[in-house]
Amino acid sequence: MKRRLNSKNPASLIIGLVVLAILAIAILGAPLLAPYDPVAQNAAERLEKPSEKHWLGTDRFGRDILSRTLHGGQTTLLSSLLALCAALAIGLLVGMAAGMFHGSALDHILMRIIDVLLAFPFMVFAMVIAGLFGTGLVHLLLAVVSVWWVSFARLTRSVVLHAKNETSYAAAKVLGASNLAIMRKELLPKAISPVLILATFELGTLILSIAALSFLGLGAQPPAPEWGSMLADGRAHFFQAPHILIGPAAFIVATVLAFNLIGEGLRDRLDPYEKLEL
Amino acid sequence: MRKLWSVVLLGLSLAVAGCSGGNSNTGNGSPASSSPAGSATQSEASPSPQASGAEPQELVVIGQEINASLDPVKPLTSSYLRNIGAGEALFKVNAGGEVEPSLAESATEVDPTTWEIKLRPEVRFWSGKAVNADAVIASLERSKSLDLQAQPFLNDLTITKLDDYTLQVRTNREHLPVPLNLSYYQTIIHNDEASHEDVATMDLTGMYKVTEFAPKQKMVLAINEDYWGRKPTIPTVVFEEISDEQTRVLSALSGRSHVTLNVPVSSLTQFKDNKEVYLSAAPAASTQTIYLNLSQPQLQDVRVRQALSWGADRDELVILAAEGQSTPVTTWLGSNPAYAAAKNAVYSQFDADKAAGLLDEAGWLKESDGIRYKDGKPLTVRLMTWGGDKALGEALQSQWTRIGVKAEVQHGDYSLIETARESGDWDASIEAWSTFGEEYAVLSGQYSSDGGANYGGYKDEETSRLLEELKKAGDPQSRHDLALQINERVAQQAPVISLFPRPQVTAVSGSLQGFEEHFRQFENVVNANLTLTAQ
Repeated sequence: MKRRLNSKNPASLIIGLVVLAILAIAILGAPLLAPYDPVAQNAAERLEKPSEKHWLGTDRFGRDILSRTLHGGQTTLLSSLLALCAALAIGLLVGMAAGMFHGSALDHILMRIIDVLLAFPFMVFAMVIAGLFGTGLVHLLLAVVSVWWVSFARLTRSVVLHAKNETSYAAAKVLGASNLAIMRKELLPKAISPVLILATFELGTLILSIAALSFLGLGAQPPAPEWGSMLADGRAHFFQAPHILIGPAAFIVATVLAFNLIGEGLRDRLDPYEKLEL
Repeated sequence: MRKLWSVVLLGLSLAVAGCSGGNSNTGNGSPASSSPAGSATQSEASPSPQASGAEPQELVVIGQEINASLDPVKPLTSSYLRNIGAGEALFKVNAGGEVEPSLAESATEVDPTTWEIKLRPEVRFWSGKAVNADAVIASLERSKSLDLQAQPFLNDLTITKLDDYTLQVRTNREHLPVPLNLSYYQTIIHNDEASHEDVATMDLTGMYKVTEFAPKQKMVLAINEDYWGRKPTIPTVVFEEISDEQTRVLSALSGRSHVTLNVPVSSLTQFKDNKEVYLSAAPAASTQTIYLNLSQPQLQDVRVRQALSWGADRDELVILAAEGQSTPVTTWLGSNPAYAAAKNAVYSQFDADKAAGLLDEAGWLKESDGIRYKDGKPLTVRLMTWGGDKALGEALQSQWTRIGVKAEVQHGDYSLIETARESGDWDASIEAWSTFGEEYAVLSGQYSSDGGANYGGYKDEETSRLLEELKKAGDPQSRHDLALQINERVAQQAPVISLFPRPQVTAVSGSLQGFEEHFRQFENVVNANLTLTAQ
């Protein structure tokens, strides 16, 4: 058995990073780049087609779609990143604990909770949260995080179980290291790479889910621009002004694609099992 | 090509709607028929409802909302039951606005405070029980005691039995139009001894009997074979809720439904050049109104309420939220053609400066962030919207923000508004009540301190005094003048902000004959003249 440097084509990673960089510049620079106030209404310019003045046209309130799309990206992307970080932290913590104390009551309880959450439809869960606490981005994120940590926890647990068979773990035990120290110094570094790869893929799905829930009216509330809610608002004018949907739809596709390409690239480079050649 | 798009989008929209769990039919399925409620693929294959050539069996009516209950005394339930031909009142108002007998045979004004109403001896409830004087009195008493919204029409009436099929109605004031009061959907006649919790036990009089019911999803009805009047010819009626407006539009365009209520004005262009569906846009005498919660500290000051009204650019709202399909009204009665003088009263034109002045005067001063503050607290208004009013909420939010109000819009199901009202945790909400009817009944329902639609707790001595005068007034001219005075007083006090008559657009399949355009379409769809033809 020998290790070799990954020889797969890094194109997907590069393309993903380039697309993401362009999107990030556009979205984070929205306050400077957006030509208009994203919430300013102008009845005289409603439903205008793309033009020199409004590159992506205007919506039913006469708001500039390009400006709303760029600002909306901040809402969608930042909320997705925030939710991902929270889910990642919870997932790592739970997965490490379950893996470390494999076979214990704690492990059984945590795994059953995970089973239940995996069996519950995410959309329904989000709606229950919205029904209980009301609509809005904060509640939407709460719903997302409540469910999204599960996949990270399962992956972390399996990595930990695998790592516990390694000699370094046995050595640490023999040397009398505490459980906390073993988790921090021995297991966490091993779990980080696969979990980060998963996170990159999950971010794409998360963006889609947050957009879908906002599409259903559970996320950002008016007049805040958000890609999903922009798509929902544009539906009513689809036949009259299909351009309304182009901006948010294109940005969603590009962002998810970018994260998926980055995820693929990272997996090729970082996944230890991908690097092994028998 | 357009049809194909419609079908594809309908499928996608239904999938989205399915995610919300709002429209999936969990019932036992509708009776077998050449159903228009088939799949998208079926619709694609057969471009119009029931185009298979077989005898059309099923009328499909789609509404933005349907009932959550079968009991006529529950809020709005009676309107849906009437709409679909299951419930009837003693009288009804025809499309021309005239009151005509329904379960009653005739009504005679014996003297200024007494009416005699003759009932039809042939009328029976679905159970077979006679609809006689005792049954009618018991039904109306039940509505009066359990349905707040029925009270404005019944509180002034004392109904007694003269004989088995004759009622005497004594009124608290002279020349009260009793037949009009007894035509409202809130007064539909139901068997008070029956349990209205279940399809099997509910007992009404309509031409159609409910056979299946999934709350807020679907109601299936079959012909009442013992109906007292002219029996309908279409064997089955299906009444479904599709809350998503674009899905409703696609349902109409794809031929899935025969009658589609509450077509959003933003979709009118989609029906252009469509030869299989036509639009009915009867003017509705109901005013889009913002109800303000007067128990909220910031809204207790009349100047703030007036500022919100001056700060609403109604012309712009009509364009942004009603696609230009309405005209601004500044007072509540303005949507009623009989009160055209009220259309532009009090708030003659949009005046942001006046609004700003009033807010300054009230101590709400603008700070650097553009929002007004008083004692360190921002001037906030949380506006709750439902149904198709999201755009209206957003447009208002923008307009109020311009005068320094931190406006938030919360859009959701009507039940959220009801819950918020019960808890008192709301600032403003949008609704449209009919302005058609007997002056005292409609105005007291909105503006008397115990009015069923006085959501914000408006209590004003001058308004109450004028309402008392109206209650006693006999001749039509003085009633008309008093109604205008009350309307103006209310506008000045601004417990509500009137915007424009709500557009009422219904899509009707070309395969349906006998559809009657009505100014209260939402409660007048099914009639015995309806027939379906295969296209």
